[in-house]
Amino acid sequence: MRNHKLRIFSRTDFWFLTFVCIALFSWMAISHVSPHASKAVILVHGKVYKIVPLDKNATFDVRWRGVHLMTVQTKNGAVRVEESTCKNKICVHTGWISKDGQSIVCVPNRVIIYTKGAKQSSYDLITSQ
Amino acid sequence: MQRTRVVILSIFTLAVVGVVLVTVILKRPPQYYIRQGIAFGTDVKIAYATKKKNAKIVVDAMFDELGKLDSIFNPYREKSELYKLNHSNGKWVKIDPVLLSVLKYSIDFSKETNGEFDPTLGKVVVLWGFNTDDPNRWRLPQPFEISDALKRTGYKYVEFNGNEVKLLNDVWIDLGAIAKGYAVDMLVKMAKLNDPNSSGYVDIGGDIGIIGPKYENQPWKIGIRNPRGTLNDAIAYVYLYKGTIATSGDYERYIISNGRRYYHIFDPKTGYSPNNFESITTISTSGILSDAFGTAAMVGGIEKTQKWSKNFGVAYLIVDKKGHVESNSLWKNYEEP
Repeated sequence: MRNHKLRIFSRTDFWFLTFVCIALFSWMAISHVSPHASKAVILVHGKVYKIVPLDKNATFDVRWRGVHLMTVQTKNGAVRVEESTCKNKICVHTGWISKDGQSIVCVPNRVIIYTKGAKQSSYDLITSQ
Repeated sequence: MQRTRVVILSIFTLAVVGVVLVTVILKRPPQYYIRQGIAFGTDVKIAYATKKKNAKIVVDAMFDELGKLDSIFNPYREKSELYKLNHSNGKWVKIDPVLLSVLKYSIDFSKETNGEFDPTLGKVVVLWGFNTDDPNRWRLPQPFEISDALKRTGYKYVEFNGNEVKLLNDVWIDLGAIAKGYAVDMLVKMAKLNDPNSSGYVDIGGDIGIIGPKYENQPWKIGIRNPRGTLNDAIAYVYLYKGTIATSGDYERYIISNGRRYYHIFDPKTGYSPNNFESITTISTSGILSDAFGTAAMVGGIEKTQKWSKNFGVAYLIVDKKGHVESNSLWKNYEEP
């Protein structure tokens, strides 16, 4: 009788249950740790102009009402403003951004580029003058 | 037996799936409605979460309010309230209650800092060209130009009579040192009026106000920008559950001439930029105070900053001219989460 009860779980059952547990806990861990697909959101005059994946290398123009504002480049999980028509070029000098929540701002051209779902940033916000 | 086995296996599998799902759902952070835009000549970001499920409506209203404030305080926009005041030719002018309130605050703060903070330096700011975003217009004026502009400054030349103001001696008001801080206070207030337990922040070009703790009980981790680093390079961190934080510095609007750095903050006594710190970051319960304090401290130097911080209860972190970091005892309260 005792032997009969022990056979409720066969060797196959044991491996099945182990697989279920490992799969679920792995999914849970991955959902908390792994970054989502990295992307950059480009806002022009307060509206979403384009959302670009950062895992693809690309260079493209950003235009507003047919007027060229800047050239944006994505490469190796990061994004930057390669060239801009604004005078002070702060957006160009910002360089590459790749961490979640970072942004490039071009006030004269009213363009904001920010990253979403990339590597975890070491802070939530940054204060500057 | 086979049936028992299937039942037990099913129950076990469902239990594991249930535990995992509940864990994931419970740990899921609240969804922030985030909107970015441009106002006060800088980038603005608002993140807001409320159980009232009206976050988008509230944030949109906050941006509308920001637009109104911008149109009041921008001294270089012809239709703004401040522009009208600056061009009133010494006559009594009835001004918007918001402008009146902030102007009175700034004059009171001038008195409390013995004039180290001075909102009447508009003519000096324009002379150097730092009122524009265009670096080609930033310049080192001739000494006689500076002394001439300085003659038309001084907070004692601002007179109040009820809701009317008179500017004497041809002074121009520039509230750039505190307008962002005031706007932060107003927007945080709007968010809390909607829901006192709401969460999020308002960030107007680095002037930050906390609406409520992150995920309702965690502090926001805030980096202090390295004055000589890149835009996203932090030199220190603080953890805020509430309050406001602001930074004044010499690293965004500046020119270098003969090896000396001249930037957008001016000593009211000389008309030139002070040479005390690379930056100061301040934490207080009020955005307008954090903002004004930083400007006064850049002018006043370390000894006055120490004294004022005790008077006003402001926490500060200074990056001095050698890049060394110095903070007061109040700052230590924010260094650990």
